[in-house]
Amino acid sequence: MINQVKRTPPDGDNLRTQKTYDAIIVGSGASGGMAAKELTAAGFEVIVLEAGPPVDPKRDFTMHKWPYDVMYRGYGPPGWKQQEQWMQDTASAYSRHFYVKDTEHPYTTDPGKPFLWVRARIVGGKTLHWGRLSWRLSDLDFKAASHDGFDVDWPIGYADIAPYYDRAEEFVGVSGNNDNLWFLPDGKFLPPMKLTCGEQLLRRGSEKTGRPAIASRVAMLTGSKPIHQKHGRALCHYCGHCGDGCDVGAMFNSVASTLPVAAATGRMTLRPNSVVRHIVVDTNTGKARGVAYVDRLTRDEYEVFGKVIIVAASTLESTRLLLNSKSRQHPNGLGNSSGVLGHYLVDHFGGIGATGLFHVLEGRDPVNEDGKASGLFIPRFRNLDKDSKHPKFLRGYGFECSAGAGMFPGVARGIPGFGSEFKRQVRRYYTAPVYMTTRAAMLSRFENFAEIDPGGVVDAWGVPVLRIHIQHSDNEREMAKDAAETSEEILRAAGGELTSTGGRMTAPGRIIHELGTARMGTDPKKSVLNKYNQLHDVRNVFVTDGAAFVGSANQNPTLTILALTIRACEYIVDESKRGNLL
Amino acid sequence: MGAVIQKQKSRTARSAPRAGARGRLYSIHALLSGQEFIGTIESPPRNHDFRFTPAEGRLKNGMLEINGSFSVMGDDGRARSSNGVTATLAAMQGGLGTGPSPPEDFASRNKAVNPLDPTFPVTESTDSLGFVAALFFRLSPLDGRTLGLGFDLSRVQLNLRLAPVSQPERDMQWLFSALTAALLGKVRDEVVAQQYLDAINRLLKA
Repeated sequence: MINQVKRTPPDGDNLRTQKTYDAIIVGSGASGGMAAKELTAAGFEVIVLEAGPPVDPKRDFTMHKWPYDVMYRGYGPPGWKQQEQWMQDTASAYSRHFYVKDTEHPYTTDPGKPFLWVRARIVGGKTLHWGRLSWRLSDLDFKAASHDGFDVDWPIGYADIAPYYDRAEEFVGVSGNNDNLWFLPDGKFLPPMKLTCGEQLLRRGSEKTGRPAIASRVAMLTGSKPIHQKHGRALCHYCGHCGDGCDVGAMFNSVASTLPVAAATGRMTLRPNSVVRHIVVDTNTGKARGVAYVDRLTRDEYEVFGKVIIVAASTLESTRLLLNSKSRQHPNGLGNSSGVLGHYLVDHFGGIGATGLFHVLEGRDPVNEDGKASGLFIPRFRNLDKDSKHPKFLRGYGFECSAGAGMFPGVARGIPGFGSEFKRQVRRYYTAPVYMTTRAAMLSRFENFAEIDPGGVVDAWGVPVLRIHIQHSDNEREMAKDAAETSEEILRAAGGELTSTGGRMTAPGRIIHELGTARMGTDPKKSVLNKYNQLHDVRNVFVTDGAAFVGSANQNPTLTILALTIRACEYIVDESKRGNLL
Repeated sequence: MGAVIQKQKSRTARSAPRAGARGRLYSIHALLSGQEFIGTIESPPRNHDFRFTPAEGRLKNGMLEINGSFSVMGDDGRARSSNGVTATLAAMQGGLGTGPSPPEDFASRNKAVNPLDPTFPVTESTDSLGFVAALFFRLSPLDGRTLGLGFDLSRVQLNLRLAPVSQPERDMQWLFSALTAALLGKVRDEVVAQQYLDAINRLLKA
């Protein structure tokens, strides 16, 4: 028996009775946090609903905990991952509290077509543990269809979003070089992190094969601008445990950056433990008037009202929310008059590459190479122009590379033997390893989609879950084949000894770059959102996270999500002033 | 950090709960352990250990139905059972990583890894490498009062995680994987599904 809906929040909840916020923001991650910052700065009163618990950096961030400081030396109680968080691939014993429990958050798939869905339900979302790689997309990506004839272009071009990339980079703090590659635009950077000796060798090898290789661009503070100092963010001190929560704010995350700025305006209310069930639409006006949510802990049901709804719950959760927001006017889900909602799901793939040893580097004194939160990147080199056109696949891929000593000598796993001789060999090769793995685009296809599970499966709060249907096509497989061959070529050109090559393509979801399912477009019959992330069907609802993407490109998406969010918020403010939204 | 709302209401234990007094329980989570599905309903201040003991599976209307008994530790600390409980398969979740090998009786059914094109890299855990990580069942209505719980158990979903640590559990996972592929895959084949179900039933009775 579901509890009665409480339209008036109980005393002590700090929510004013019957308050209508200027904006309701669902999600507190990269996009939600940025939306809160932008809108409060413009004078909006916002409420941010976060499904997960609050964060206390002192308690929850474990970046400086050593294995001997924790039970089970950092491996956690036996069986915890397999029994409770089996899909939370990047969760460790240090960071598991950032991630959902799969026991409470099911989703379903088809036989033989798995999807690995990593989710962080906590204030800050996946920004607490993300990879921090920050690349701009170019018109090669925004206008990919014009380039190669597959699918459709984005409704925006690079010129439309460039100023917002600037603003995102300046606020967030991205370290990198201006590399002068037209298909990977330069930006507003802090000093780049230096390459290790092995990465320099690999770069030379890549350049020998005609492919530039550059320092990775990462959202880490390697230099301090007034805007970062003002918010108490410190420079990176190279501890190398970014995924366990950065309590100095050196890496961009919502908790250290956007949310405190929004809170300081006095116009943000943050309500953690708020699982949004659906968006409520006014049947008279056709506009959204609020959201219904359930308290994660007490299971009490609430509604909150807002003039604008910003859905930023992360790609699939945002689409799940829209699909669950059915009504008489929106029988297939909110914003789904086109039938496209849920479709064109993509994720980058990886798993293909090469590993090896640089013998010229073996036996040297180890240095803190693993503390560096970035590596070497070999950008896309296929299908840039007529000369680089590949006969067997469209779009392209890059390589994320690293080389040098790590905290744990992973190279030991490949060394046979035992005893003193084994230890000698481990020390010998400890400083020599090199790794290359691909980050490759996936074509956006209608038949890769998410829907509400037809079998009626629900989560622990009774919210219907997704069934996810996705698989690679021959385009991805041809790309993977090429990547395996090319990584070997580059590593050998660099003078490395190959120890393994090829590999298996990662299953969709493992790269945690799921994108699409509520794509932007100019035609309301073929898209869910317009070029300002606004639902075609319901003008006061916006989706600002990765769900809006038209295509995946091969670059990491978060910087583009941040830029799109800033741009959408500017539009919301302008439209509100004109009386078109509020 | 501005107005952060953190409100936790504590639940007070009641010695004689009315049915549904603690609200509806949407799902419970269990682990395949031997031949049983074992789990805990977390409801502070008390946790309730439970087990679903399958007796036999059958195909009904093209879907897997497992009959068995459900026992749980009630609010008063006493274990109570309900027989004749049915778990109907609603959906599955594909696993990632290394799946189980086929049991001896089905060793010949280990298919080729890459039937499409031998020069293509394979995507992990897909197609013939696929296996089940979790199964989701709808339980027939349970009476919370009879079981000594204050929850509404009229429509509970059982989330079953398969993470085998023994050979019988690995065999069970392989058989459930093959069975769900035959029932829920692109090509439904109830004859083949029945063979796998027969093998599961033999394991349940072993």
